[in-house]
Amino acid sequence: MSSKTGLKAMLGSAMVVLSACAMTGAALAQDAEASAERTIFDGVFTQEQADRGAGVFSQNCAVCHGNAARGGSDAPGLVGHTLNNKYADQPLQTYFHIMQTTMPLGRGNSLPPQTYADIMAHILSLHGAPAGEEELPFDEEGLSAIQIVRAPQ
Amino acid sequence: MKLTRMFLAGSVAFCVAAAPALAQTVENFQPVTDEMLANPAPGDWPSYGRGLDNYRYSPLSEITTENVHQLQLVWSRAMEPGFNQIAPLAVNGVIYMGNAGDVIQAIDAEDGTLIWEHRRVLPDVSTLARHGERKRGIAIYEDKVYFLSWDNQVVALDAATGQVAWESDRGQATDLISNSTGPVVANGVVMAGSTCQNASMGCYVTGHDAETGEELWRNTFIPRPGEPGDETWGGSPYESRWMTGVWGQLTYDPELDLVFYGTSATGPASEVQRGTVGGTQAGTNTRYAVRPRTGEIVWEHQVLPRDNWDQECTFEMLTVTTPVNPSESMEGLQAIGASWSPSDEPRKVLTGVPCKTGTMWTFDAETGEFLWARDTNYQDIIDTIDENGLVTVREDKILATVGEPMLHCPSFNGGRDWPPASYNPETNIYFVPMINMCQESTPLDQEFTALDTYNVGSVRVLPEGETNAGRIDAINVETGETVWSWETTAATYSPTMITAGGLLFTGGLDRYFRAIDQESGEEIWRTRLASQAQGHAITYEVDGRQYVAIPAGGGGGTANLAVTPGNWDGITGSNAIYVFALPQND
Repeated sequence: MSSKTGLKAMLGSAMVVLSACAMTGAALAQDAEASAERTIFDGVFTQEQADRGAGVFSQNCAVCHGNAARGGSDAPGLVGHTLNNKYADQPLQTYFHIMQTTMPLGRGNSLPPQTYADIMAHILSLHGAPAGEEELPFDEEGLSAIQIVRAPQ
Repeated sequence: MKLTRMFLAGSVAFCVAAAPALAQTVENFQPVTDEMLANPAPGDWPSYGRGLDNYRYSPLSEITTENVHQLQLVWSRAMEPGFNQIAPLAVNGVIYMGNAGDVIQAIDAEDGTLIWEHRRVLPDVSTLARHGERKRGIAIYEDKVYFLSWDNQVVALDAATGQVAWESDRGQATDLISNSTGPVVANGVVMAGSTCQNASMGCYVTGHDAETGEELWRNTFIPRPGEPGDETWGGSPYESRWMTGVWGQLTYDPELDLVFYGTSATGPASEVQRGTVGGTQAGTNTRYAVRPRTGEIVWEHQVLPRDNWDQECTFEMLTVTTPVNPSESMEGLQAIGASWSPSDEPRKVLTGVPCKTGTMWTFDAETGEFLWARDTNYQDIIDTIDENGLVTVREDKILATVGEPMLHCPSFNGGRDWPPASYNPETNIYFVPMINMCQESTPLDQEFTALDTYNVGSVRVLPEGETNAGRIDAINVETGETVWSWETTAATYSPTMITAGGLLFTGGLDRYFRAIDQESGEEIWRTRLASQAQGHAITYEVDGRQYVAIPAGGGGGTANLAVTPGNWDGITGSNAIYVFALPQND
């Protein structure tokens, strides 16, 4: 990829973020309602994306949260009970927003939005969610339309 | 165009970094003998605890309580990213130190210039135990520097050049066995424990020939079916007995020729979930005295049975020659040994705070005879300790019900945690860093593996009535009495280091590097660093000038330790070592 193409892609991403920020709360709520059926277990990321996220996760997150994202003495777990108990029935945007604005610790928003989405894809994969055909988005609208639910029995 | 420039810049940086590693050697390197480790030159700091006694006490006295306020930064140097909890060594004007992620360096101690650097080529680290990243300690002995690699090998480097002399693979790195604390060398043997926090098995201590790397012995801790102690594991299958390791510092007493180390606990935290209900679990939370050449166990004492709270009794204990006169009025007294009687005759004891509970223990170092034990920080886990040192835990604090929260003190980070204590042989006072912290633990209702570590949800809280998390206690080793207790808002979580100049140095999560008056317990100097300081402070001397060094930056446990309110701004990252000294007159 030439640097020019890269720049274009970055500008495009920035516009998506900007337009998402400009949306009103009402519009978001409406959207979330409209697509409330879609959950983290509906193939909301691709395997390739989760694999990309795995590499970044191991460099930026694993030292505290563990390779399997299950936590330990240094930091809480990110999957399993955390998703099931703390974030169940909330939009994925809520969880994503906390990660993006506070992590790595003290360096929120220090990674590109796409990278945070890749990391989230990896976390969902570790949680047991299946990969699908479409990449997980990183815009507020897209993430608000995906619900965190308890794992299907 | 931009890409080309970036590529070139990258290449230059590589050449600059690589050149010294290839070209520079430590000039006039003098081998470090057993004698030099046992009785270090006043200006040196040759083991992680300075001497093999691990006192973290230096006889240097140029910097005093009177002039400490004049300290100024002499040099600093960037370090590798990751948890920075390292213990530098200083020998003959050279600092040898590990960096997170297996980068070992020799640095001019006077001006911070890199002499050589060893950057280990590691396998995919996502297949390794995360705890192996931190290089808390390295060792130097004769002409070699020793470290434990992230992938669980004992590695010997030529101390003058940084070139690899030998590697000894302990195996099981991808079973998530590693080492965080580093080795100690005693009597020609390199010894190191191991951490099994996420391994579905138990760990070990190994002893290796310092010259060749040959593994001489290996001690495990968890009993197999039919072995002594098996009956204390509640009938749980051997395959589900996990985690017990030795990841605190080992200490060595040359006179007794004994190495002392302590084991950690088991997972999950709840004994119901690990299938050991009521079992005391022999081999866990036990202090061992062993022969360094053979690994033969001379004595052992379990200091916490039936651990449901990750209290990990693996922290260093020290041999001290002192009269033993435990005071009946000491704060938090748990027990005085059955065979003890008052005497002014000095005897050699093993003393210290081995567990997160904060309990201070004193044994006869040679025989293991129990002498006394007391609480320090608030704890509500231990019910009683009897006159033989037998511990009974509180039944009502057992994590007996899945899904039910249990408040217990201290937390999974202590009380005391890994940061080592110090001891002043001139005043007979022990200085132990700790944290005021309790925890609500809820055993999780989920299928678990060893990757779930303790398999609890946890919330850290201050003990009732406390407002400060950071704390250091000064305790008289002869009487067990508290001399003073110093507190500060933010957790400290950094080793203490003391000098003959009457000072105690320590770091903090609030980014302060502090000097405390050993006598009064008052903070008398502090300076603010770029990021929080969890490293081992050391002091050393070159050409008659005393230096004080502190490694700072990326901290472990930061999220869990942020239990006190207020804006104490404990940013992590930007790892570096900072070196201070008094202004020079000339």
